[in-house]
Order: sequence, then C-alpha cells, then structure tokens
Amino acid sequence: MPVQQATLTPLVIPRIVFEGGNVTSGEHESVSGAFLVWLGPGPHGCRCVIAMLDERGYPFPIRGLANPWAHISAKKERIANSIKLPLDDSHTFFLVAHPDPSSARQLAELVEKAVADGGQLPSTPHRLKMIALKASKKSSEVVYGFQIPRTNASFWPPGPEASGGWLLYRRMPYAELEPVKEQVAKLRRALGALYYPATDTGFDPYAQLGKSESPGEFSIGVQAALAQFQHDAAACQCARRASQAGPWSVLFDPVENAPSLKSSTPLVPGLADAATLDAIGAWHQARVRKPGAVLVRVSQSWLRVEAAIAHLAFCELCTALGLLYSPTIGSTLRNVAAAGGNGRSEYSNHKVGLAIDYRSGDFVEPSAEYPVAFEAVWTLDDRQLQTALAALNKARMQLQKMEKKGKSTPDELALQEAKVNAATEAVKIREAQIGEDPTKSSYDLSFHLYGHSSLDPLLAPATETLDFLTHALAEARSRFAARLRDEVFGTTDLHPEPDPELRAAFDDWLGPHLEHFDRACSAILEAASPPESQNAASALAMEFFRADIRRFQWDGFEEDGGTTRIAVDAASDAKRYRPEIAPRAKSWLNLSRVAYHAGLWTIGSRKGEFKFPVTNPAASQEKRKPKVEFQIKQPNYERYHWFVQAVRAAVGQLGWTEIHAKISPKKVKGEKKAPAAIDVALSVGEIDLEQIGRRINRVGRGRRDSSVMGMGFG
Amino acid sequence: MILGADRELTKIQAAKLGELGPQTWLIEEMGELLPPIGGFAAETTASLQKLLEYLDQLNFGDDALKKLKNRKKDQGETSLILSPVLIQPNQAQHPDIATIPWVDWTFTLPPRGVPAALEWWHFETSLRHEASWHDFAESIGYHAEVLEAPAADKALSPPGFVGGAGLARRFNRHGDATMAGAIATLPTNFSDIPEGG
Repeated sequence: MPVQQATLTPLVIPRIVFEGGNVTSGEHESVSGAFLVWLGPGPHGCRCVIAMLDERGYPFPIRGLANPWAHISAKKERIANSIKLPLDDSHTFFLVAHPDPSSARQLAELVEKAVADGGQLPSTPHRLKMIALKASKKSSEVVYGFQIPRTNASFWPPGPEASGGWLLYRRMPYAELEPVKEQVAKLRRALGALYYPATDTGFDPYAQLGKSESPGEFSIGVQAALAQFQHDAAACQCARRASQAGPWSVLFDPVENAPSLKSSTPLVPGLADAATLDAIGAWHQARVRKPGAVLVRVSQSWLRVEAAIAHLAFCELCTALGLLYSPTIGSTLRNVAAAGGNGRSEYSNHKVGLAIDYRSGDFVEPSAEYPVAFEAVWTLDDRQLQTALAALNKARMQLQKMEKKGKSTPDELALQEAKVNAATEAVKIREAQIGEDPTKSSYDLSFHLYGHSSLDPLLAPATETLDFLTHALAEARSRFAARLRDEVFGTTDLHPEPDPELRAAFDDWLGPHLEHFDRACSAILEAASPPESQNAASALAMEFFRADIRRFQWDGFEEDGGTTRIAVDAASDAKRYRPEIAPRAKSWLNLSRVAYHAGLWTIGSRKGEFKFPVTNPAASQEKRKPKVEFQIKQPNYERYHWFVQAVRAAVGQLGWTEIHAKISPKKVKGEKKAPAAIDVALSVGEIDLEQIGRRINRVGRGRRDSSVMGMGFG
Repeated sequence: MILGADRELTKIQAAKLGELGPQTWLIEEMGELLPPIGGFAAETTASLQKLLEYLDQLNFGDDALKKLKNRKKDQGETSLILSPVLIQPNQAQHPDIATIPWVDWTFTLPPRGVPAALEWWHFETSLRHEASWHDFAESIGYHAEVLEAPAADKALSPPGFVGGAGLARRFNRHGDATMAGAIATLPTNFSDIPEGG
C-alpha cells in the first residue's frame, strides 16, 4: 500500500518592513507601531487575525489587551511568541496606522462582514508573498517577511489632506520618513502659534525660533500639547489676540468662545485627524490662542510670568543692595519629556516654567560672570529618629484610642503604656546617639547663596545705611515698574499711544506686583532701622549681610558632597574669582534671603540625595547605602606608615581634601567581642602616624570622640 | 593593585601595566588575585603616584580603553581599588613578593558622586506651592492625562490613554503630597523655607 505523504507548509515568523530602503539598518525601516489585520482562511470562511507590529516589525497578538502600546511597542517580547504565517502562500492583510487598537478591530469587523456578504472590502489590502530578508546588517541569517511601499496608501485609515495624507500621532509607523517629519514640524509650529508648547526644547517652547534639534519628532510633548488643544477646542475655550504692543501684551488677551472642534468620530487625544487640523486652522483664522497662562521670555529664557516677575524683582533688589554683578540666568524651561537623574527631577518645576537655574559655572565653582558663593547649612534630619518618633506617635495614638473606647482590660492598657514608654526611651536613646556621635546621615544639607556687595552695613553708621537704602529701593521700584511696562507695551515707538483698554488692564495687573515689591522693600528698610542700642548691629547687618562666609568645597566621595572651606571675606574672595570687583567688595549679601523676599525660594540640595556617599541616581537604592572609602582590617600598627603614604598619594592625585577610614580592631584574646569599628575622618594636612594611632587608641579604650568626624557642624 | 568591575578593562590595564618595564604590579579582580606581574619595587608613594598618573593616561589616551569606558555602565558598580603592596623598608630594594603582607589592606574608591545634584543655583517661585504639578502642566498647555499615562516599561496594559506610554508622573490630580518639597503650610519667614526639593 503506497504511503501517503502530506506536504506541510512551514510556518515562519514574518517581519514587515518598508521597501526601497536598507531593510537591514534597523528599526527605522520596520513598520513598527502599526496594527496588522490579516485575512486567514477560517473554518467558517474569512477570519481576521489582529496583531501589532513591534519595533522590529514582528507581529504580536493583542487579544485581551485594551491598550497594547506599552506591552508590545516598548517591551521587547520574545520573537517566538509572535504570530506565525505559512511561508509559501500569498497573504492578504491590511496595515492600520492609528493609536487606538479599536480602529483595527473595527476594520476587521468591516472586512469579515464584507467577505461574508460578498461585498466590497473597505480598503485595498496588501496581497503579497513572503520574501527572504536579511536578519540584520552584519548577520547573514535570513528571515522572511513582507516589503510594503513607503507611501501613505499602504495604511488604513487614510490621513487628512491637510497633513499630506499622513495621519500624525506619536509612535506612528512612518515617523522616520522625511515627508512625515515635515508635516510634524508644520503641526508643531501651528500649535506653537496658538501658544501650545508643542516642542522638545525649553529655548523655543512655541516652535517659532527654529531652535529644536529634531523639529520633525512627534514627541510626548507634542502629543500632550495637541491633546490639550483638542480638549480646549472641544470645550470652545480660547483667548482672543487683542494687542501686539509688547511681548507680554499676550497676558491681557480676553477670554472668549473658540471655534469648536466637531468630529464625527470620538476624539483620540494626541491624534492629528482631519477634524483636529481643521480646528487648528479655524483658530488661526479667528486670531485666537490657548486660554489661560502662557510662557514669557526673559533674557532669552522662558518662564511663567509669575516666575519672570520674581526674577526681575530679585535683580532690582540686588542692585539696590549693592550686588556688584547681576543675577544671570543659566536655564529655565525644560523639555517636558526630559529624564530625571543627576539632580534633576522628572516632575521638575522647570518643566512648567516655575524654576530658574542661575549661572552655576561647572556646578562646583561659580562662573566669573556670576561669582556667587554657596555656604552649606546643615539641619538635623535623622531617619532613625524620625522612625522612632513615628513609632512613639503610633503607640500614643493607640493608647488614646483604647482609653477612649473603654473596652480594654487593665492588662492590655498596661501593656500599651509599656509600649509607649519603650518608644519614648527609643527616641531618647537616638537623640543621645546623635548628640554623641553625629554623622552626616543625621543631617540635611542645603545652601545659602552669597554675593559680593559694595555696601558695608556692618561698619557704616546705621542711619547712613537707612538713608542710602531708602533712596536706592525707591529707584529700584521705579526701574521694576518701568521694566514691566516695557515688556507689555514694547520699547519701540510703534505704539506711542497704548490702547486704553490695555492700559487699564495693565494698571490693574501692575498694582499687586508693585505691592509685593513694596513689601520686600519694607522688610529690608525695617531691618535697616537703627538699633536701639548704639553698640548693637542692625537687623539688616545680621540678616542680609555677612563679613565672611565659608564656601562649600565639593567632594564627590563625601557622604553629602563635600564640606566647608575656611572663612573668607568678600574682598579676598573676589580677588580669586573676579579681581576687578575686589576693591569695591565690602561685604557678603545673602542672596537667598533677598530672593525669598522677591518671591523666589531656593530648594538647596535635593532632600535625601546626600544621605548617601554616591549622589549618582543611576546607582540603585541598595548601592546607595553609605560606604566607607577606606577599610583597614586587622590593623597592624607597624603598617600605618605605609597606609598613610598610600592615602596621601591617593589624596594628592584625586584632589581630596579629606578622607574617611573605617578601622576594625582585632578581637583580643579573653574579650567576648572585638571593639566596635570606628569611622575616622582625616584632613590632608593631618594624615600622620600619630593622629591615626591616637584614634585607634580611643577605639581600644572604648571612647569615641565625635570631633574627629570633622563634619563641619560643630 | 587595580580592580575594575569591568573585566575587559581590568585585563587591558593589567597588560598595559606590564609594559611599564621594571615596575612590577599585582592585579586583583573582583576579589581574586590574578597571577602577579610584580610588586612594588620603588617606594610606595612614588609607585602609587606613577600608577595613578598612568591610569590617567590610559583613561584619556588609549583609544581601546576609551571605547570600553564609553560603554553604558551602571556607575554604581564601577569602582577602583588600590591596594599598595606594603613592604618593609629594608626590603625596598629587593622585595620578596611571597612574604609581602598585603592581603588585609584594601583601599576602596567608590564611584564619585555628581555635583549636578548640589542644586545651589536653583530657585523656584513661591507659586509652586499653590497648586499641583499636574495643574501647572495643564495650565501652560499640556494635557496631563498624556503625561500621567504609565511609562512604557512600568505597565503591561495601561488603561485609558492610548497611543504610546506616558511619563508615569507621580503627582496626583488634586493633591500636593507627591510633589517633592511640597509643604502643607506656606512659610511665614525666611527660616521656614523648606530646604528639600
């Protein structure tokens, strides 16, 4: 009897790529992000399979996933899990370019219905056979897949004519094509002109200055801005562009009803469909903009107007108080998609125009242009103490609760009271430990900024200082008001007669800002009032000025980033950082305090960031645990000389000013356990055998001298 | 001795140090002692300085090493341990490596921190305490729902918003508790300004 041979068509994992390009060059050639609707022969006729193409162009099933984007487009699945198709057959499929997977499901339903009824398909499908493709540029391995043309006709649904037939959205499968990038850049400019920050750079939030490095990218910022436009347009909310006098005149645009966004299909946030593009065009024609707050420009930087005004007030107050240079902005607005880390917060206030980074040199030393000094301020913030206090609070609350309810037995109450007593004792013990043995981990570090001032209220008679400041602050107020006026009405003669409506609105708006400025002036003048006792220093001298300060010395190996330098007066310091102002530098002006009165608060160091020796956000939490820089196990006193030499060499080479050593003494015969390890801090100048020997001896005698820690806080 | 978390880096360093000639060195990698290629022949300080200088040259001069160093690495895992061979003064000229008591001496240099986190240059307007980050983002023209969507690698199937993952912001819609540095009450004077941020 002849043996029947069945020929099985091999199943392969197809990859879908654009044709005409180098298919081996990487993900840009893949049709990633598109949905695949594949027509397969089912038991009852046509049956569609819906998949999503991952970044390599492989199709993955999306059954059960309400939103497959995060799962498939960003998470690398195993290729083996992707959909497999017969190699030799001709395949019929649609590619859906749309952010919503329900659109692919909708197309599949239409297709199945058309096939079942013998009707016309909703769109022309791709009918292709698989061909051999190279797996990668360097590999000779062959994979199989489909090549489709690089045109908008390859995708369903058709895009709006206004955007060249491309449907624009984030992570669209054709994002890398030049014609698409041009359309995205056009969309960004159009949104920017309506004051939606559809950009990826803080230097050009409204995409009008051409400063973006990738103007054709449909980033998350563009998506968020477009979605907000759709939201406002659907709610018919906008502001009418009323005056073009000065750059800040936009702040006074009156609110009115916007041309509405009407769509026959539900709006998808961040999808530039025909209805959305029509609405953008209608807004442009109606000369309206987004309602509410906009960003304004100050010194080539962009801020919310409240922050911009605080900066201008800060500058004028500094000038009045004799600062020998002007606060210079380093950066303000940040790309909303920027990652966090290295001191940056992912949800930073820079991204919403509320924060200012003044010029900071190389982070460690100031720039010559703005040579301010920063002095460390440590405040007690011990985590163990906080935990102990929380436990105490919890125990007390529980006791109160039990007493209030009155259902507890005397034994239960006594037990809870004992818990409260124990928690109280734990707090006391921790407080005592901190007092005896402070470490940097017990403290929070922040900074106060000081600038070189030409005033000398520390030595000058108080009455003279008061007279001078009264006059100087009045002038500062005039300059501040004039600056705001110029920003609103412009500095040119094009609008010599301001619009009366704008004028009235400006006067109403200026009043509160001047009142805030006056309050700052009053606080300074009040502090400058002569003291009752002739021998006493004025409050101004104490609160705003210092004779000398201690600059902070950065050290990346320190637990909190460094320690303090020796005290230095303003003139001596200026000789090093900006010699030409040294003859006029009489005192240090507390810029942090001035900024506070102007409405700017410093955040200092990131809270908790310096609880760890490595201020490296890339390091995991576990790795951030305090480490010791130097370890000496089983100390042998004869070897200290060599230890010192080695440390000195390392210190000299790496620029350290201080090193820490952990010394773990040996267990001595007859003792139950070895003496506790001790951390010692050694300044460069004091690394010598005797110093170390003395400290070791302290360990041996069980005494611990906190002064050797050299923490800089007493 | 040099220890690098990166095996390749350590090997290159070892080979390069071997080229130094009469200088002799010991190489330790992740706690394991490699076959010694020498010991300190000169006085410790001078040797260490030379070693460090040479490391500097390696870091900036050697293309192969540059290539290795440019690779993305978790800085938290990178460390350099210098363990000088501590010999007795009378052995300085003719060290006997076998008898050198070096094993219990370790000098560990952890990865250096980044000064960008100092933030002494940073100021924020007091307005930031009057609303949540969410509200401020929306007020300047960002749809917060887009930004709030879970990040791509943090959720398998984020509900609601479609079209790619978001930034997974940790703020809440109405609250203030999740903002770093947020405070319940406004400061009334300078000393009350929150120091964290």
